[in-house]
Amino acid sequence: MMLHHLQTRGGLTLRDLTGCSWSGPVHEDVTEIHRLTRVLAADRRGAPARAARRLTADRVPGRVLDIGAGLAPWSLAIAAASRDVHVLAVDLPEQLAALTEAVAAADVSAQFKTMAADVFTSDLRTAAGYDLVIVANVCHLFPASRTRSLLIRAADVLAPGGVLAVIDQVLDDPPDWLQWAVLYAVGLPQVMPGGYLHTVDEYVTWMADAGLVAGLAIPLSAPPGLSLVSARRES
Amino acid sequence: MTESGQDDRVPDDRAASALSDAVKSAILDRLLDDLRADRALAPPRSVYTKSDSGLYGKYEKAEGINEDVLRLIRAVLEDLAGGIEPELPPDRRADP
Repeated sequence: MMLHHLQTRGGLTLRDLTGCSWSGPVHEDVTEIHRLTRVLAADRRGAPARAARRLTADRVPGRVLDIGAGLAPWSLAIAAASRDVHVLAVDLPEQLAALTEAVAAADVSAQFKTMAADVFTSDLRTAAGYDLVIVANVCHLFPASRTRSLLIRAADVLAPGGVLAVIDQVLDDPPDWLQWAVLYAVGLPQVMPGGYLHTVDEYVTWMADAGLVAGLAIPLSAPPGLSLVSARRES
Repeated sequence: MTESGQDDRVPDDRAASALSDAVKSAILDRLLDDLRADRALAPPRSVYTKSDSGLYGKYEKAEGINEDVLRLIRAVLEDLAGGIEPELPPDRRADP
């Protein structure tokens, strides 16, 4: 429990730690700490482009399914790699208007279709299957058993040789306690999602349960960061 | 502790310990908040204090700036920021 709380949301503030009022003279270290927290938080903004580079390095995926797309930052970055990328972005009905707007704003509507669906109940299978299925910033919403079943459903719609990519914050266990204490102390976990965190090993196990072969497990941004865990369906 | 009663740990160890205590207290705050929200087992924040909650042990908010803690935080953040990969220029992003 302590480990989970340390790595999600919350945190102290510099004022809590120092009693320092921002309106008064500020200690030099506080100024620098404040700058560094902004640098680390900003590094997350480059994560979609980094993920896209990794996921298109071997081949450009022609058919992409983005599960729980939100505003589709991850599949938009992949679509930007090539006009041959075609994405089906799926989310709950109440999210669809914002999703459609985000796709239009990125000027890639010709490459995108959107669909309102609950991935736990809807049948997303197609005859050809998908070259890439993205499950980004979704798994932390669900406990382990539900996440495992989500990944099995996602793996089920892959074409032979297709890749399942999970992007989320992973539970760092065992953690670097000093590093996490510092991140927590300056409130950086506030940029992270709450909910459930799972370890890389758990994701790898669930992907193997879904019949996939392990691929990448890499950080996409500086701590407290997002990670990419991927696996491939055998050809 | 030395025989004279002085803390003989190096400043970094003392800073890490002070930081760890502060973080644990903050996490306990959150756990108590969760308990209150979910089950209303604990009294509202306005009627208890950290020192009498029985969950915190001895926790006293430091007066003023603990410069060792600040230096430690800055060093760790510098380390993390130093590991950030420089972004590729936009014209190389589409490269395979």
